[in-house]
Amino acid sequence: MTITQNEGAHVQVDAGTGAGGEHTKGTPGFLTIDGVSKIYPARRSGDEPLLVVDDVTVEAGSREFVVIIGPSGCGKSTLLSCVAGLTDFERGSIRIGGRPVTGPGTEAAVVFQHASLLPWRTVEQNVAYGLKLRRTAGKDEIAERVHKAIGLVGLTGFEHHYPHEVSGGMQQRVNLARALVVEPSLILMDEPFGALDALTKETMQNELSALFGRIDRAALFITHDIREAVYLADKILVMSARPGRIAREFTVPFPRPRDRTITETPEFEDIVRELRLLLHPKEAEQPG
Amino acid sequence: MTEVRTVDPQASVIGTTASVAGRRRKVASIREVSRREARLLGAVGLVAVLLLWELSARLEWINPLITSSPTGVVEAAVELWQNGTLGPAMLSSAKLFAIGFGVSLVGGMIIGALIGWYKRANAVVDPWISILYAAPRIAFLPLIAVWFGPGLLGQVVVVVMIAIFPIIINVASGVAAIDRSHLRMARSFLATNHDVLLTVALPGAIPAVASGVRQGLMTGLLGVVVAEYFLGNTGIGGMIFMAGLTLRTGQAMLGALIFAVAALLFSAGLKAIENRLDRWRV
Repeated sequence: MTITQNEGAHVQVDAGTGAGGEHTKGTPGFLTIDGVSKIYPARRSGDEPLLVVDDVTVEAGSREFVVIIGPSGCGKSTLLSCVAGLTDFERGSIRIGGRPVTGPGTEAAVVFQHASLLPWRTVEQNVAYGLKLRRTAGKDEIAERVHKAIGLVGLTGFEHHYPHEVSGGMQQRVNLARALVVEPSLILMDEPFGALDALTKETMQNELSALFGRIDRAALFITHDIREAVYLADKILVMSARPGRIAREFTVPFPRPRDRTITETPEFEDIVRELRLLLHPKEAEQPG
Repeated sequence: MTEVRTVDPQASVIGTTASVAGRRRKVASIREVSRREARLLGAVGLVAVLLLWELSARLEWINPLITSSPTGVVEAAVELWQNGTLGPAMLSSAKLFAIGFGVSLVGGMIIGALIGWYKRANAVVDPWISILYAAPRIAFLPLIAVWFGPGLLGQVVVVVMIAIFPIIINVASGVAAIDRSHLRMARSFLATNHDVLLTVALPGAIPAVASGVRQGLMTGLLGVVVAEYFLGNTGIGGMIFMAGLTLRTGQAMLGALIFAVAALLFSAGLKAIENRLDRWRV
């Protein structure tokens, strides 16, 4: 087993780090998606096979927050699933920390679109689930890391609740904590806030943004929400629909840590406008 | 029962009438019955029927020799208890049920989990399970008597034959029906097949297992009655059968009542267990 390049892959909760807003991209080329294509075979004879992801190339540094944005059905979730090793692909290669992805691995952890919590496990047991499956940590270490992750996502006090007893936003926090607790060097997020109400969504975005100021992780985040993309991303990749191609790449210049005030700046609105033009050129005149 | 009346006629929807195109109509209003009221009404219904039955028999509107009466049933119970036949008969039935249902429960869960999990095993045995589940299995009774004899062994085989299939079928479908998103999530954390079975498939099957056990309990009781009727005439089932032949209708009613009470008790007990197991269910 090779050592991952991401040396700082430990949760740093102390307030001292990152206070100066120094957020670098980390080691470049930590995640490389190189010319990946995904074709779904024809369902019935006579149908054409469906090209959902077409020759996509992405690069992310070991501390970079990359957002892929695109219309529904553009193949962005499929791409994330390929990076997670949950879906195989026909052409190209994906490497995390230099190691090619051939299946689910220990480098990445997924925050799913629907929380996918096990309803018979409490919040605490759900957070511990992935870490336990990996069988790398002892009982005490699991308990300690779970406790820390629950604190990190603001779920303290809800450890013994069952998923149906907490709100949708809290379920997504559990989903996030379950991924964080395994201390992956890359977090894959598949529209994690898509099903939340607008207020909860904003809170979650704020907290995720703050969290990423404090921990050394790379993130690949899928969304179709333009403002969410600009608020969270270091780099935005715009994906076009059918077949899914990377149409354009944006670098978001705002320093970290960020807060909501950046969303009121003209620079923010400029990026939002440009993205909207790209994503739905006909409706670009609608007010932001 | 208090009735809430709102002051604002617009806000009071319950039981109002409306006028549509010149015609009056009563707007839908589904009244809820409180728990206490429901219990009271149920008790009233029970007592009323029993009283009517007793009265009809006393006044000889119906022939008490054929229909018996509530007091007839009580008299039968006292008599059978005093002559020492009721206790042993109940014990005998309880033993048959315990063995037969126990075997069905353990066997049904194991077989169900195996065929729910191993698709190839399922493919092999599925035709047989389907045939046996669909068939009226009581039809095999004479064969079982021939193969296993009319004693306890044959009776247990009858109970198992009747009770095990609902358990197998429910457990198998519960284990097989893994939530795809849970499977995906588990895979993303590198779960093995064994992990998925233990942490996703089996816990997820609990509701299906519970309904299998419920059906198994009820069909198991039926199995006891059938086995005792036709193989050996033992226990409460045998008592009902013999009483029917000799027109001791009070005894026959008593036997049926004992099975009914047993079924209700099992049902309530299972409900209590389900509630404890199922705190996570919405």
